[in-house]
Amino acid sequence: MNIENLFLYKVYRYNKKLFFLFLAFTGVTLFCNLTGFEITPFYVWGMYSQKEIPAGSYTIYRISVNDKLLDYSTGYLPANRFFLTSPLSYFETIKDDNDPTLMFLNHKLVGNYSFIKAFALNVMNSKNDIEKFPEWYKRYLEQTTGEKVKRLTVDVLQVSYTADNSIKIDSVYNLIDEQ
Amino acid sequence: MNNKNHDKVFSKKEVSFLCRLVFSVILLDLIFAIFSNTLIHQLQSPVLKFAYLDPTFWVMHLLKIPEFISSHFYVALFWDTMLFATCISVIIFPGKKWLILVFIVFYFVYYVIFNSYGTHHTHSLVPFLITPVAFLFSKKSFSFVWRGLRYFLLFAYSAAFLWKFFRYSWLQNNQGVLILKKNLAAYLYFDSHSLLAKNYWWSLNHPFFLQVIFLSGFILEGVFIIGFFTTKYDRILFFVSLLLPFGFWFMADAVFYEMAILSLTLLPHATIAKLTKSAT
Repeated sequence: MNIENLFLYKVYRYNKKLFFLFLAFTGVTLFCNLTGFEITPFYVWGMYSQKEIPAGSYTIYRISVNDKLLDYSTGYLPANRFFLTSPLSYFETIKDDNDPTLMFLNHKLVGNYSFIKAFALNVMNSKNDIEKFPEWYKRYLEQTTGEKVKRLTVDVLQVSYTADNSIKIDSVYNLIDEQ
Repeated sequence: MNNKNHDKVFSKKEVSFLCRLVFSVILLDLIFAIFSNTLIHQLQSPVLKFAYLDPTFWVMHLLKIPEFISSHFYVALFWDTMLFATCISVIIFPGKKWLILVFIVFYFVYYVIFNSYGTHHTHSLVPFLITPVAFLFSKKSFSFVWRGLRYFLLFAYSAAFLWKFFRYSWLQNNQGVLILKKNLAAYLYFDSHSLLAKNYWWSLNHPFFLQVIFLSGFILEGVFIIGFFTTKYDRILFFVSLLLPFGFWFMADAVFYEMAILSLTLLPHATIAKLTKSAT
């Protein structure tokens, strides 16, 4: 391979500043990918690379607005669907103080956690934020449906696939019930 | 190595054409955002944020920038208006670099708000954040940065291949079925009788078919490694890069058509020149 054909070499010959910019970007991106630690704009492109663990059940949210079922799986653009489900799922995870970021930091930094605690608390969600979530979700549903939400219920369904091409509900519990 | 076609310097007209094309796609996506209720002023002052371990998100939240913008309706509306105004202005005046810079600053904050309050750091908006940067450079530097973006795209798909390779997920014989079951459960629960659902049920009954799709996607991602050594197969990589998002959509209900904007970097210079000619 002739070095003169290398892209980075050509950049180096053209403009050294641009070369070092590319080199730095490449270096940090490679570092982030090797450590699996993403720092925008140095992205880690996993794209469904995690080994999937066979699950006994899957989680679905059953959202009812004014006692009418909201089928968020169709009729909404992908980004809208993302905002209807992702924060809901996150709320379900952290409502009992299970913030994944906090747990990860606690686990990784053991003795040094107090050092970044003050910063961490500023970027984590407070109890107050978590308590405000159902009210926000109502507002966002009003924005999405264009309907005044008088009653909102969200149930968490644990479902499983059956052999006859259907999905059966294994268990249900109520996550949000707002009048 | 046959890189001659890619080594050519883009003319001013060609850079303007590419700039208009890229920003037109971004504008289209911003219009989609209106109907998706995901512009900042439509988010209704979101309360739960997710900076996770990304220091960029930490800094933004420590400075309270996302909080301030998203919780004040008129500031949010101003922000959204600026996104549209700068994007449209760039399409009209593609040579004005300061307009592109202003757009990038506004879009960067939008990107952080979208991902943080969406509580999941998706990569779908990354191409819209990264690609405009190329147009900040002078004509000759642009040609190098545009080629740099080509490597960025090659890296994204190659990395996806390598992650799967080293995590051994490609050896898991029911990976395809498990991805589909996890991501399509809600759709199959609510709409189990639609035509698409019937396809999914058929696929679930034929796990081999899903595994073939998964492994084909895995191999096609790996094919991008070739692009690091030669530009000879860029036309093929271009079509593959358009094909892969369909696979992700079918298997995982993940939509990232935005990557197509980076696929433009795989087009040879002659094609860009032809497209520019026919557009002017």
